[in-house]
Amino acid sequence: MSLLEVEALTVRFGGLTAVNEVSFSVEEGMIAGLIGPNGAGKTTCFSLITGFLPPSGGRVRFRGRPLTGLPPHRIAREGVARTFQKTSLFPRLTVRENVMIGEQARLVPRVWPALARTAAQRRELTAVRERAVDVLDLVAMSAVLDVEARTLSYGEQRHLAIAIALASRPALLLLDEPAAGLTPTESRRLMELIERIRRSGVTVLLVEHDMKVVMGICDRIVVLDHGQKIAEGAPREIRRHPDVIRVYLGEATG
Amino acid sequence: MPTARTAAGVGGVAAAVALPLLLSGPYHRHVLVLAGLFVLMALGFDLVLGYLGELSLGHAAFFGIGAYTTALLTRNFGVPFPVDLLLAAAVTGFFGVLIGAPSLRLKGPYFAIVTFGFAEILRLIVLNWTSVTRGPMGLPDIPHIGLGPFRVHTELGYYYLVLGLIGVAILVTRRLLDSTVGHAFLAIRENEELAAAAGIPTFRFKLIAFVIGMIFTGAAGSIYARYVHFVDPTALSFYYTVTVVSMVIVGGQGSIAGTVLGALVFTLVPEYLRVAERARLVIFGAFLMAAIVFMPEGLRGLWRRARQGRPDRVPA
Repeated sequence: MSLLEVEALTVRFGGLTAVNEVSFSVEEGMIAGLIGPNGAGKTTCFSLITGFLPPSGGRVRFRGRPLTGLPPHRIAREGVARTFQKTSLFPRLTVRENVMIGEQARLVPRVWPALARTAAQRRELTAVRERAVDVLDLVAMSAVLDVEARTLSYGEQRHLAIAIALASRPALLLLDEPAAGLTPTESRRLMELIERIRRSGVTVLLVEHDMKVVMGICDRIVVLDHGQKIAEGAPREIRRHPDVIRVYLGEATG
Repeated sequence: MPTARTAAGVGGVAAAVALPLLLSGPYHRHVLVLAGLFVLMALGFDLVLGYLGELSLGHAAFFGIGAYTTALLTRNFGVPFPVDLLLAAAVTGFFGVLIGAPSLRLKGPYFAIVTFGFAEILRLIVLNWTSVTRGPMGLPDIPHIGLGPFRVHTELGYYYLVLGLIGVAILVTRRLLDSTVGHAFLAIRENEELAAAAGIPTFRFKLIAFVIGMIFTGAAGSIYARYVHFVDPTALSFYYTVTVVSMVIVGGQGSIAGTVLGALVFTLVPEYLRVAERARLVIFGAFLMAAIVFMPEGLRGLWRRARQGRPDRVPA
C-alpha cells in the first residue's frame, strides 16, 4: 500500500478543467516531485489533497484511509502537512511561537483547562515550547527563537515555513515551490534540508520549478500539463521523455 | 520581564481601587463607572478585533442584549442579582453563537457588513416590539442591586462591581492567551489558511473568541441597565459601536493594557473637555485624527517604542 494514493482526481471551475483525472501515488520514504509549466494544475492538486478545495471527482487516500471531503485541519491531524507558495508563516509572532502553533496538529486546544490553568495544561505548554527548539534545530534556526518572523531574511522565512509544517510531526510533507526566489546557495541548503527531512522518516512531495532542485533530489517525478498527467518516472526517464521535452521546450518542427 | 509586568499590574489595580476614593463628589465617580463599563465592552471587542483580526460593527447590539435581558428579567419576573447578570451573559453568549456561526465564515468587509446588519435589525426589533420593550419609551424603574443584606446603589458600589468584572475579564483573556487556545487565536489572525493547515479547527476557535467577547459585552450591558435604572433602544445604536472601535484602535488592538487605556481616554477626555463647551467635539476630533496619524499601533505601540527606543515598524 502506498502512503498517498491519488485516483482520477478532477476539479472543474466552470468550463475549465484545472485538474483532469490525475492519478499517482507516493511511496513511504521517497521524495516525489510534481512539475509542469505554469497553470498545469500543480498547486491546485495540493489544495485538493489537503482539503482546501473540494474536488469535482476522484479520490485521495492516505495510509489507505480516504481524505476526500475532510476539512484541512482534519487532514493535518491525519499526518499530512503543507506549506504555501506565499507567506507560509505567522508574520507578527516569534519564530518559536510559529513552530509552537505548528505543533497544534497533535493536540486539541481546550478552553476549560486553559481557564482553570490546570497543571496538565501548563506542562503541555512547556513541553510544546521545548519541542519547538528541536524542530528549529533541524532547520538550523534555533539561534533566532525570539525574533519576529517578519524580520527574517527571505531564505530564513522559507526555512521557518518548513519548520512549522514539520512541527506537526507529519508522515507526509507537501512543499509548494520551496526553492522559489532562493539564491543558488540557499537552494543548495534547501536541498540538504529536504534530504535531512526524508532521513528523519518524513515522506516529501514537492511542487517546484527549479529543475536543478527537482532533478537533484526527487526519486520520482510526476509531470502535469493543462491539468493532465503526461509523464511519471525517475528523473532520468523524465529528462528524456518526449512529451516532457515538448511541453518545456516546444515542439520540434520539420 | 514578568516582574515588571506584575509590578505594573499591581500598581494598576491599586490605582483603580484608590481612584474613586481620591475623587470627591458623585459626578467624577459617575464618569468612572461609565469608563469602567466601556473598558469591559472594549475588552470584549478586542478579543474579536485584536486576536481574531475581524472587525465587528455590531458590538452595540450585544451591549443592548445584555441591558434588555436584565431590564426584562428584573422588571417582569423580579429576578435577583446575580442571577440576572448570569442570564444576561448567557443570553448574549447565545446570540453570539447565533450571529457568529454564519458571519464568522465571512472575512474582512463582509463580516463587518453582516454584523452591522444584524445590529440594525435587532435595534429595529427593540424599537418596534412595543408590547415587550415599550419601544422608544424604554424600560424604566430597573431596580438597584440587592444581594441579601448588601445593596449596591451608590456610584462607588457600582464602580467596584464593574472593577471586579473587569478583573474577571482580564483574567479570562490572559489565561486564554497564555495557552494553546491563545496560540490558535493568534494563528488565525496572522494567517488563517496556514492555521488550518497546522491542524487548528479555525472556525470553532473564531466562534469561541467571539462568544467570550460578547459575554463580556453583555455583562457590561446588564450592569449598565441596573446602574442607570433605564434602557431604551439608543443603547443599541451604532454610535456606541463606533466609540468602542475607536477606543480599541487608539488604545492598541491585541493588547489588554492598550484596550483599557483607550477606553479610559475615550470616556474621560470627551467628558472633561466639557469645559471647552462648543469646541469640545472639534478638539476631540483633532485628537482622534492625530492619534491615528501619529500612533498607527495605538497608545500601547507608542509606549513600547518609547521604552525600546527602536522603530516599531520593520520592513517586510
